[in-house]
Amino acid sequence: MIRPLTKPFFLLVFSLMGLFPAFAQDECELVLNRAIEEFNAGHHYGIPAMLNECLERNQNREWRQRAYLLLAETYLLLEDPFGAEKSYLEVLRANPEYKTDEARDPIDLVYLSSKFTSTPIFTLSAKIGPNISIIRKLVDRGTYASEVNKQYRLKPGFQVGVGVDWNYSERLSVMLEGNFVYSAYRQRISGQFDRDESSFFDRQTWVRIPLSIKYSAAQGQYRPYGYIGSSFDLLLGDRATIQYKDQNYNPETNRVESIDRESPILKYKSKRNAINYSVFVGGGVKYKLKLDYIFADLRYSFGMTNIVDQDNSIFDYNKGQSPVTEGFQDSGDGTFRWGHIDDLFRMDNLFISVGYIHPLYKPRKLKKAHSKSVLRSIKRQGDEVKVD
Amino acid sequence: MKLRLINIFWLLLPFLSCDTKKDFEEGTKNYFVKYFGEDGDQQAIDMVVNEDGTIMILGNTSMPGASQRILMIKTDAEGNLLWQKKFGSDVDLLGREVIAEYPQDLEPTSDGNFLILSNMYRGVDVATNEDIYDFKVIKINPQGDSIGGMEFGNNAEKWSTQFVRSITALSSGGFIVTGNSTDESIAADPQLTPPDQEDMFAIGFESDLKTVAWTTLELGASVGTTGEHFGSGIKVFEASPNEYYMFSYSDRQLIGETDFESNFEVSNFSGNGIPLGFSDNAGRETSWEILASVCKVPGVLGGGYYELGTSIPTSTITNTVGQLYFCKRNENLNKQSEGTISSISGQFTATTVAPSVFSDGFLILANEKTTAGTTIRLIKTNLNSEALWSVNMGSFDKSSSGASVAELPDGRIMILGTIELETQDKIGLMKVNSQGEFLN
Repeated sequence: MIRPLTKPFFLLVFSLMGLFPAFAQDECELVLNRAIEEFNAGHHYGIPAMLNECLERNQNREWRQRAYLLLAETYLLLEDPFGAEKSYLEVLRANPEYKTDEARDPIDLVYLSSKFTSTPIFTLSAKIGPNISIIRKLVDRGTYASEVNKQYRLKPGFQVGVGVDWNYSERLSVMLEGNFVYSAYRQRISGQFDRDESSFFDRQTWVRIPLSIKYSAAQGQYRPYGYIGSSFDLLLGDRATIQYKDQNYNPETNRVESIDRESPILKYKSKRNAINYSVFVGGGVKYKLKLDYIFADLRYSFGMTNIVDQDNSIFDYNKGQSPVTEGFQDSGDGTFRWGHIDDLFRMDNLFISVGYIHPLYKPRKLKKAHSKSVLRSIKRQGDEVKVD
Repeated sequence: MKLRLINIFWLLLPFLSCDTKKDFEEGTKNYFVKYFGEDGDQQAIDMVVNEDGTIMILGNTSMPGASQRILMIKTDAEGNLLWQKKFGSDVDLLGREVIAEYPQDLEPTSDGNFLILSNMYRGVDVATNEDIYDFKVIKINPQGDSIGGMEFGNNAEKWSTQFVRSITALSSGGFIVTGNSTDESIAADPQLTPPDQEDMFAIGFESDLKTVAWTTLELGASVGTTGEHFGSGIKVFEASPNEYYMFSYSDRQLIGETDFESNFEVSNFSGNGIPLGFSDNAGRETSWEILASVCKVPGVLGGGYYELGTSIPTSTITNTVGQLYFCKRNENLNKQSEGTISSISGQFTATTVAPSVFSDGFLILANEKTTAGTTIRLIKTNLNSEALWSVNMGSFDKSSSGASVAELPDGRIMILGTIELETQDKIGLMKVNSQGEFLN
């Protein structure tokens, strides 16, 4: 009786299969080393054929970088500029941030590299973080005929967003974002009717489309940046609740007696201007993680427009409802039940965000190569050799 | 290049649309809602809009642990409080207890001051189980200081009670009050079944504000001859120093009718309170018309007088709501038109009426009964009393009520009312545009 294949047997088979890439890797490493020996020996013609099979096996980035560098140098010596350019392009595909070194690399390779770049044309990013809203009052309004004490308090919100940078150069870019922002603030009033207190808590959701010009450091593990821009802001929703403390002094009990009430959620979007604009400045630092980045960002946004729809600040006239219907009356509850009317104000925001950046590297031949400096360097080296 | 230009435009756009305080400041003065008050509840009664744009407001205030008092408020044209003063006390000038003040009317005088009319509630007469009132008149200057006044003690104790509804400042410096009394013995009516309940009166005072010049009772008796059960004087106008017009309502049985049902009434009397013989009525046989307010119609709108009240179907007379009823009369009190205010629906209690010179019509204030409360209804009519537009103010399920309305020289409208907020009543002053909207 033949015993069925057991689990240990399969494990052995798969383990042996797993070794094949490693065997292949080691074999290609040997091939590359042989090719380097042939190159050093001046046997250039056979090198492309030697490396071809391994290149077709899709080796790792590091091996491909070294192999194509060798090929580029080989084609340069074989006076095959097409082959050299094609090979150097593959070097950049394997490692978009590869840079030749005049001290280390042959000068013709350095000259060849000056015709190429892999700087990303576009860079993608995503971020998340908290924010606070700062109210900038334009006109003070209220329903209380006598003086009251009014204060705005900070409340936390949050934002998430995605962005794309169009990189004009290594340092300069234009950034377009799409952000979802939840922001909030609280207005506290005290002293109504001698001693009452109230609190108006407003929560807003926005879609913001900021556009900015950014300047970034191009070198180093930590790369600071700064930007300035403006934003188109669309209000998606606005909900408010009002807490009211009706306090009365009772001489019979010699105490201040309080009746506390909280409103249901009041829909305030109709009392707002849905479209707003803002201007912002900001900066941060990005940290290089291989070919990507993580970043921390601080932004201050100056609201440029009055957020309150002055015409709808008591009743909602936009709905087109008859002013004697219950639905229309309900839109005035903020004023006629809870005694509230908005100041006219602009809203600033302070955003703190952390996020991730993924540059879309694009190795390509430059339309206009920056090779004059390289030529000057070659000429300078040649002059030095003559002097020697 | 094109992309750079788009970028520059986008970045510059917010600077082009930057809002500043100057962009809005003037507009925010054109409409408002303002609340006045203190601890407890305050209610609005009447207002006078002065020529300089300031507003005098009469109300009452009920604070915890204290009895109701008269509240006088003065505001600027934007509704900001200039001063607030209280009048009244727990005892009258004779040391008798005053349980509560019920202010009724505020009128300007020809010397630039104001007259406050208030009923003083003294409690219940245990013999008749009826509420006992006296009334007082306080003269104040534009700064709210009391500069004179009087208290009326039941017509030198001849009447057990009386309730005044309005005061009219006279060119002579005196004044007239009118109202009714549940002491039905003050006027002799024929024997009625059921018995007489109220008698109406008007009382004239000299310029010293204390001396009773004359008293007249049950004007309009010539309209019908069988007396009345219910009725009250509402407003007296000085047609000339020798002739006054009194507007009232009563359920006097009219000639040709068999039922006692309330109608508007008007009659005239002399400078010393003697009826001069004219009287007329307005109303429908199948409903009770209860007069609430009368205004003088400016000459540019045709002159005369405009009466406003509530028309309650006889079958539902226990209600206090119905349709709004009007009667327009010329300078000689001849009736020009009457009927219900058309083109509106709802259940109302009429409050007050004012002429609208800017828009050629009338402004009517009423309390509308909703499913869960009352709201203030402002109605604009044309000269034919057809409603052109109307708006409600107040929360739908709270009990807010109108007190006074006035048109401003620029056509905007000032409304005074009592607004029931979530936990308390407050005096509300509201300014709207000529369409009744809180808009510029």
